[in-house]
Amino acid sequence: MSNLERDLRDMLARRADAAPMGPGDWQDLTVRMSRRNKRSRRLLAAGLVTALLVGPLAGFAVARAVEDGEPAGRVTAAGPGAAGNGDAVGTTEGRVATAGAASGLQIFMPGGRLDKLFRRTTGDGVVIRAYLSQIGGNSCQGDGWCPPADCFADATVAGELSTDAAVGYAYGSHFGGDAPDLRLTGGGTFGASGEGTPVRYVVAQSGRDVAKVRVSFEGGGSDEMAPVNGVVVLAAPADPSKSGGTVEALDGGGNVIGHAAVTDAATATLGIAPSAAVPGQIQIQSTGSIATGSGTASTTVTTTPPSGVASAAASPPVAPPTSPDGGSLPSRCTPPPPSLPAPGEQPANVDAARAEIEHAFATAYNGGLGSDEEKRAVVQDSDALKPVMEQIRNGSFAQQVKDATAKVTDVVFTSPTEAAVRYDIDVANYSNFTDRIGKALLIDGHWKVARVTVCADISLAGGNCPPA
Amino acid sequence: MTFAECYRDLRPEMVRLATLMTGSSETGQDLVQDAFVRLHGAWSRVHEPRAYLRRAVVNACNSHHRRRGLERRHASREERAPDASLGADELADALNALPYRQRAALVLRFYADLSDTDIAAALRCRPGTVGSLIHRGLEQLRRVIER
Repeated sequence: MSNLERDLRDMLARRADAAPMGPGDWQDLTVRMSRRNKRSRRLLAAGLVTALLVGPLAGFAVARAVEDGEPAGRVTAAGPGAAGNGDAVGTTEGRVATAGAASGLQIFMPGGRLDKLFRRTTGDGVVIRAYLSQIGGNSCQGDGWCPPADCFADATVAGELSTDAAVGYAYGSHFGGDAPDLRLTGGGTFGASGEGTPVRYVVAQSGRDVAKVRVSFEGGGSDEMAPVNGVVVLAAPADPSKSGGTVEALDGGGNVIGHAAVTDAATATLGIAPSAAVPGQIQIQSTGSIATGSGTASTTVTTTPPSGVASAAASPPVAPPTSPDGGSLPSRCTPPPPSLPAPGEQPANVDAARAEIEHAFATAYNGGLGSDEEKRAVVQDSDALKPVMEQIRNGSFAQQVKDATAKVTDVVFTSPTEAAVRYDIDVANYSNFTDRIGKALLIDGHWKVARVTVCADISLAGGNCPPA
Repeated sequence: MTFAECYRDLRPEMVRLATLMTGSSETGQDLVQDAFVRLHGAWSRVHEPRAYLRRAVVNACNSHHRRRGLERRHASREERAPDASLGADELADALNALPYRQRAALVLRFYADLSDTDIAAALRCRPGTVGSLIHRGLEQLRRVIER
């Protein structure tokens, strides 16, 4: 390898490590997934609409042309705009809604499957059509552990909002289980200068005792409605220069039984007031987008979860076991730590065996897996694994592999020659991999780290072991 | 591995690759999000998430490059601004100045450690072309460095 190639390799590794990573953004991912579904459904719906329109019209035109003695090729088909100004065109799954208020602009709202929740017109003339789109998927883990239903979003609330000047989408999440009295799940603003007063909206989920939910935006603008299947979408023209607002949940007697604060008008960030904080209440990101006759603009809404509340609870279809963006999940929303198996027949000298296993793990991992003969000697099948161990020591995670240290925290002997090992891998200035469960084997009179365990850890650094 | 675990474990690696391919961490993160959306759509059929993601990320970078090319044709040619967050580096600047396919081939070879065959598949060219791209890319880098 030439010096230039070596420099290039070093530079790439350096710049890769220097790349700002930022936390993963589950909500952004969820929104993108939803959009992808919409695009697919949009194509399907457009195809169906076109077929339904063009087919009969073409047949009619052909018949007329033949009748008139004209060549059949001279037919002008009606475009999609001929769909008319109806409120909705049903398809098998999803709807294509037309917005007559926006210069003939068509707003497509298909989804995975859209179940209509309600259509209402607010006192300020904002028309809201709300749909529920089930996310589906399975939030259970491979070991059979399933999180409580209210830990993860099971559906998306999709709203189509329109005034006589603009139309837009409203998105929020819908959580399973028994909802607390009030849970804000989305919010934003649509409308821009030139389209009249911008409209702010909030999406919320309410509990069984809630008869009505109302919002009052700072600077004027309010709305209220009775929940439909526990969901409300509230909207009102509001002064964009003002921030804040309040959402209140009322029972049948008109008593306020929960409230939440809407903060930061610029980004429509939602905040749940401490008084309304109920275990499991969750704030999420939401995106509101506006569509006008000349283009589309979007506003991303970012929220900050209160302490101890799941920031990643607006989950993708496959629910996360932990918050990937670093937020802390309530303990009931996280899977229990993996458990060690029951002890079996014990080796003759348990203490000595345990000490040797601890030494084997520390020796194998500390300072670079497989970097010398001593480290390889404590790993099962180390000759076969030598190339891949060398690969990760020189790969993208070379520094992390070098900095890694392993510490055994528990050992259970399942037989005189086999032990289940709980251990932590600490990578300085990078990450900790705690409560890992591995295996140690007695081979030729010495306890070694099992190949399967080493390979699982090698995969953390981007390596793949050869077949056993 | 669940999709969430996959996202948690593989996202950093893919962001790094996309950042090097595009020269922009912001664009890289955006393209990787899209790649995960694609992966999610195919999750039940994908047996090798890392390989699928890598392919999706490279494809996304290729598409991004094509879009940028079209945009530049309709606008005045602008200097490619290096991502300030990645720091200044003469070799990096020289790499960023290379034609996209040469840069991509060098990144896939010297960062992702892909074989000629894999790089050819990613860039949709013949394996022989990969050798040429890498050779010309290195030559160009050498000229810039020695200038």
